[in-house]
Amino acid sequence: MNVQRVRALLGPADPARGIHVGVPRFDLPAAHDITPPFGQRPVATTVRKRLPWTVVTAAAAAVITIVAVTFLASRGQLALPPGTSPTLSPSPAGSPPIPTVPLGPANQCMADLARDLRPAPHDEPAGKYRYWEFTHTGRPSGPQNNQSWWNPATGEQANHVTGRNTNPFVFTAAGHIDALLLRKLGKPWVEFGFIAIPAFTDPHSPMLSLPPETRRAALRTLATTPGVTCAGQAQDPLGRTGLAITATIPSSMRPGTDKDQAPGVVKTLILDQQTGDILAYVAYKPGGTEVLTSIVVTARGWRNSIG
Amino acid sequence: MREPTEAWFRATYAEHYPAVVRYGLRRLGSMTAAEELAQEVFLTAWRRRADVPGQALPWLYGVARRVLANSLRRTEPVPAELPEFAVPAGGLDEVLDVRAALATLSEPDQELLRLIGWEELSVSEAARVLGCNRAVCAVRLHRARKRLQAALSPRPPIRGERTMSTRPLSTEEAA
Repeated sequence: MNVQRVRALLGPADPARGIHVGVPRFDLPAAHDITPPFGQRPVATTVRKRLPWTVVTAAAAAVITIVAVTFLASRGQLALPPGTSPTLSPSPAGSPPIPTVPLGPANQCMADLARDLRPAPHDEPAGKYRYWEFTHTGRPSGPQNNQSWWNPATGEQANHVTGRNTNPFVFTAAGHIDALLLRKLGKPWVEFGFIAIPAFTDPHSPMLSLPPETRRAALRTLATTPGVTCAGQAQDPLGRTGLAITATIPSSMRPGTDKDQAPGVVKTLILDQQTGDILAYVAYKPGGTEVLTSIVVTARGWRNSIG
Repeated sequence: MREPTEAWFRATYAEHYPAVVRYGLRRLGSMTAAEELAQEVFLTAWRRRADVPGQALPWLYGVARRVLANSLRRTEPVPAELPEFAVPAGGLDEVLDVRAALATLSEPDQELLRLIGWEELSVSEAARVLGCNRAVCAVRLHRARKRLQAALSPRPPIRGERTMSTRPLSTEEAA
């Protein structure tokens, strides 16, 4: 019997074998919704004494930040006046603040674009699904052509990769695109630009087709993320000119498993200068001499069906 | 049909939280990351409580799998060190051999074997996690197990190949 044989073979090598996992408290009343009234905290705190308090605090801060910022975003309170330093972190008492940097010449372009952002053709709903296409290069399996659909009403999403692999799934709760974005950026570990920039181009999420208010909030967030700087105009791999913003993996970082996770790699977003839409994400080899990976958006719009 | 009440959620959380953390631990190698994954999974479960089936664990694993897949730009460095665990009777070498052999398989093979061997799901439950039907999953399991065993087997010596134990030392080497 395959099942027994597999268990006999793998069981002794189980990394979690013999590891005790306690059940932390879950403050459910505060987790009744992703957008509870501001000030309530959906906190999962552990009762295990051996867990370092910093871990608990960091986890709580992440959840609190998500909820609080989502609430603010839903009420439009993230659209701060020009010149104001925006921050994603309301910094509840006792939680570590997410680092931000003040606006200045190096990052002003993002705040300016957020302020002057114009509607894009895909902003007006014209179907059931948000639809976008992009080409992903730099993967071991070769370039991939992707088509994605996302239903803002239900959260249902589907992706085709090079004409196959339709994987419909519900990605996020209905209407919570802001929560999705801000959950990514609300994590305490998103304190460096080289992490924040690729977070915006997660090819498996609706990040590549954001509504205007979320694009605006995202730009304000990027503007104050340490390490993200304006790099003037640049052309994407399709030759389209846009606003380039970059971040470089610092030399102090350990190399990751992928070739675009090495110190010195430059991560670049090229944005439409009118709408703030992402035209492309490109990771360059140290020195900017060679493209290691790229995600180039080729179409956005609305469809009534998947496929 | 059961009502997805607060009491139901608390019971589900208490029952399955450790299993979901272990799921993360096996794939992320870090208790902190595993606990963060579990938090995301149960937050999703609460938001989508109306969709959670009676047998919740495979559904929760499915959510965990998608959360991992969706964050697999892997911007966070994954710790290479696994937590300490009790060395089984077969010894550490055997454990390391099995892990090394598992790592040579494709990701779908690995995930199916982990779900059966480590999460101890049935074939039907694993099929639910992976989104395939039971028959397909059973065939895939059979093949994956064969591949794992092949990866564990010592390579048979190629005809004419001499090994260290049989090849006489040359005079230069002997010197």
